[in-house]
Amino acid sequence: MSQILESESDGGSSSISESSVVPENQFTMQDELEQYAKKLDFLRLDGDEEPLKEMSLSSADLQESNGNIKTKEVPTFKAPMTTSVILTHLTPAGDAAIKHVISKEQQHPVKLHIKFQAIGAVPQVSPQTAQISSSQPFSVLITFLKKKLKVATVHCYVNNSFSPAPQQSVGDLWMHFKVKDELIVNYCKGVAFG
Amino acid sequence: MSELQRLVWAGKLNLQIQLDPHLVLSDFKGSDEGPMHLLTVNIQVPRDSYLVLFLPHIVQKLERQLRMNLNDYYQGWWFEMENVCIPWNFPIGAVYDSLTGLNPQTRASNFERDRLNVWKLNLRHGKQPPSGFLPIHNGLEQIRELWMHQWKQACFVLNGNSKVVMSFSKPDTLSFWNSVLHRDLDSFTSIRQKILPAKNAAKSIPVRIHLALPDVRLVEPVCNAHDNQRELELQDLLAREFPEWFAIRENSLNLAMPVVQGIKVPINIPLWTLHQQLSSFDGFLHISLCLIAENDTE
Repeated sequence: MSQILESESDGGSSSISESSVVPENQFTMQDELEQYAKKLDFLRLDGDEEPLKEMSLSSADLQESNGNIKTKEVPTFKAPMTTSVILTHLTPAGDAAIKHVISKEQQHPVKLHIKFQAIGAVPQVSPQTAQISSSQPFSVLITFLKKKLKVATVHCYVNNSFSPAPQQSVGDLWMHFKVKDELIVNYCKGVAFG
Repeated sequence: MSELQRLVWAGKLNLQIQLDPHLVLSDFKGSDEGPMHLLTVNIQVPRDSYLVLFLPHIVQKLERQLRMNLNDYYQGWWFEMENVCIPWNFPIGAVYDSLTGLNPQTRASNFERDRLNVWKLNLRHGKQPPSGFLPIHNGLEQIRELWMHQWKQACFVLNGNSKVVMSFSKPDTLSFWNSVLHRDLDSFTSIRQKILPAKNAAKSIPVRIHLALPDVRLVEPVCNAHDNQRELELQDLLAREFPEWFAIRENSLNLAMPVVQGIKVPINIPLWTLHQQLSSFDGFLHISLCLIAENDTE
């Protein structure tokens, strides 16, 4: 009886030592499978958002009636495959952290106030202020102005000074450059501040 | 100017750029005589520069193999890494550090066969660039304008307004841009110094944080140079913006590492010092956040 128990425990310990022989820092086939599983996991997270996305797309036209700029879902950009390999090699804490970052993102962004100011001969849009979600890129404001003014190009500046890169988030710009809780966007048909 | 600044300014990336096969004349595709070298460009570019500045050089080398005629070396082109589009309006070194995760162990296993670290990119062309990519329609002039506005923005963050840059004389503006094109650090630094405020006069510090995971994105946090008369350190900023990855105080393990100009930087350095030494040619301090894998922490 004791022999059987012993051999069982032997077997147990040998299998443990076998698995620990496998070098941990090598990328094996199993790693790749795990990575795919993880990718699928993330995709499913996105999948849950799908119906929401479609709803917002149907009302995606930039409309202004109450100065509330309606916009599409902000697109997300996936990392290259070989970079996301690391997701399968995170520590448990690292794994928990990235899941937390993802879940945080699904919370609703805040609405911010934007004030449009015309420069030169271009007409002033009305209403002068608008609201936009903080996660939107600056390009949405440019598109909004172009539609309102029915022009092909418009030059936009923050605080009569610089024109930000179109991909930059309105939220970041607002945090840096707001004046009395409004981001002031100056616009012009030609180049005003070269 | 410190030795560090000279080294950083001289930092280079090795690129292997492969032309999209759809753009190649069928004569070149068919032959077995290894036409690959005709469709590939190996190039070394400065880390602290825009990759698109080298488009004319790269495209000219491939021009004979192209199936279309070109009249613009900038318009319609973009670079990709594994089908992920490379934004052109950030220093290419910062994009490399975040997109490749600058994780020495992972990188070693990926590039074992190569003696050098080579970043493999694909060159594509089309009427409709991928979403999120800023189309280039006005060539070098557009790149210069964007860069100038980046400086104005950085100047606004540092000084509370863009007056210094906006009142630059024409020759100063020109020689500033030329110093970037011709990689002339002395002339670059002499103009950059006019924009930077005195040590304790900086309002806030222009910082951009690049992330690749969980998705590719840019964060531009507000970093006041001082917090209650104490200089703001990198770890204060990281713990505030990314509490998931960075512990508030030392001695506990962080789950990501900040990389600036390809250097893993210690987190207890004041941000102002980091900006002085390692900020990029567009006036911003670009920090790439790289996650730490399990086997790195051992």
